[in-house]
Amino acid sequence: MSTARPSLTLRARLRRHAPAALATIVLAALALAFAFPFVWMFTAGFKPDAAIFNPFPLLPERFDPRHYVSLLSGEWIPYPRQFLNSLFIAGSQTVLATAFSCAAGYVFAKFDFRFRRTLFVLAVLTVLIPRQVMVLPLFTWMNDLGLLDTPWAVIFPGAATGIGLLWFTAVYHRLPDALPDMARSEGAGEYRVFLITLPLIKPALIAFALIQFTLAWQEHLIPLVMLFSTEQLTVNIGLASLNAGSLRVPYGLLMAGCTLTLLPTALLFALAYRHFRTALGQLTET
Amino acid sequence: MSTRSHRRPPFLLLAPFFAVLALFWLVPLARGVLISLQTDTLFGDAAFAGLANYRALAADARFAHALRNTVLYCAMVLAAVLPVSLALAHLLRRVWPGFRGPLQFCLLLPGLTPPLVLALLYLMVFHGPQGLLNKIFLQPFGLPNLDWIGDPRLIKFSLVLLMLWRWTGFMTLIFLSGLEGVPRAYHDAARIEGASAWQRLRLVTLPVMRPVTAFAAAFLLIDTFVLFEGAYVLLGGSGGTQDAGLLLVSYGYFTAFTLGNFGSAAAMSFTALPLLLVALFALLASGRPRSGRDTRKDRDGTGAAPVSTGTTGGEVRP
Repeated sequence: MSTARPSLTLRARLRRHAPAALATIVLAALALAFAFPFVWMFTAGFKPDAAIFNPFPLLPERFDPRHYVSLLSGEWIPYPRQFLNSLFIAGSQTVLATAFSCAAGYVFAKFDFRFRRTLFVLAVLTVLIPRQVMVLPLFTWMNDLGLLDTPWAVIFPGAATGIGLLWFTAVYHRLPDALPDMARSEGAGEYRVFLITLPLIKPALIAFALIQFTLAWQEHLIPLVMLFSTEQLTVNIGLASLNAGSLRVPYGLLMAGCTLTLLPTALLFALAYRHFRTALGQLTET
Repeated sequence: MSTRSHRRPPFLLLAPFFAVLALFWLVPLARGVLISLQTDTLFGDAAFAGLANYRALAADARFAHALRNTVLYCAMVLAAVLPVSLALAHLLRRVWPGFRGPLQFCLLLPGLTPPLVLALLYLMVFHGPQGLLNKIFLQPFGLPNLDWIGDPRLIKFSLVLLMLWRWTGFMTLIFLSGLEGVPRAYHDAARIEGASAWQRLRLVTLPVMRPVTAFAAAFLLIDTFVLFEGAYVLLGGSGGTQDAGLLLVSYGYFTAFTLGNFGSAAAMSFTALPLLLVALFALLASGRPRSGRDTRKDRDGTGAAPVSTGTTGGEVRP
């Protein structure tokens, strides 16, 4: 690599550290490219509208919270309300989907019963159909149920996932029977036994919930179709409406709003990262 | 490996999942089939139309175009994201330890962001003469502006790039976990046998990681297929210039909710759906260990062939 004549130890040291250095440099360049627009977005939230499309100078002259104040005061859109809507929808969907697919996965992995295989294939085959593909019949169905323009129209179709069923069946498949059997011999009922297994698969539960929350938080098409009053919209649809306004688009406000949408997922990820890695690792473990 | 018990299963645990399945999958599915067999009307009295909508679809050049675009786009995304992520995962293992966390976070950031926000940021970087790329990298050198969103040759590339940005972090993380699960002994054994780095990747790493890869690829395919905001925000809800970015999901949305042709839109979904399901099942099935069930019992890993490990990821059957 080096054409000069370094001392032997230097060359040896180079050979030893070069791969790591190279990997670090390549990845750092890439990470910079990945993350730069986010830095831009963050600083743009403090700049006057006219200066937003030019990222340089990166830092605003002063950190002016004007856009945040006007965003949170609900001057353009009821942002705080929409943020809470999103939290509620994504949160409920996560809790329901995790609980339902975990319970079903447990039964499929641990018990033998008639039509088990048929039911499992039916479940996976059906629920693997993305709900976004079914958005039209879902829309007319929710209309008949009277759920349109309520959070439930978004939450329910996300409350079961085929991937979730596959995931938890696989996870329970790997779980040894010793502890549940011990609980049984102590006289615990089957439902109690299920509850006892939950702490054993904690990383898998957290990992799945994390992914599920992230995807639910990002969902766009379903809420776009199901919700229409400004007070009911999710934060994504609210921001999209800002961008689509036929009058002038308040770019600074938009950037501030976009920055805040990152908070919940980033925070959760930071908190649960360790469990996420553990769960992924366990799945590949030999 | 646990054994399946024959005692009476706690059926109530299945109930919620199957209730949601019946109410929000089977019912809409049936209603969707019904709608697709009716004339195009919003709510009012729709007349039974038989297969007219499907026949019209077969003659619809735009639909054929959207179908072709979608297939191509999904294939491009898979072909781009998976190898790049695998390479990055390899790199990440070699990085100086202190840098790992921050680098991972940067790569993951787009995956944590709503795609709407991604698309907006993407526009800021790529869009026309205003965009960062043109302004900073092309104009100063007297190069002509590239219209990433408007030029039909670049639109699909733009959409793929957006997905690459969105998914690379997650996939890298998944692959990283997979790589760490490959026992060192396998690599050492292969090295002693004189396997090159490439051979070790192909014969040791990839087979062990197949279940994880299949899982990840299925996930990616679903998201790519249904992702709506990308094309919607970048192209303003249309198919872009010469429909180069027309995807099934945006065409379906347009047909249903802009034109109000519910029948045609439903027919569209049911024409595309089998394709997606077949692709998904092919992916998930490819994640099942090739050497069959017999080796799977060997859970302790004593004497298990590398191919038989990690049986869980892509299993389609319990």
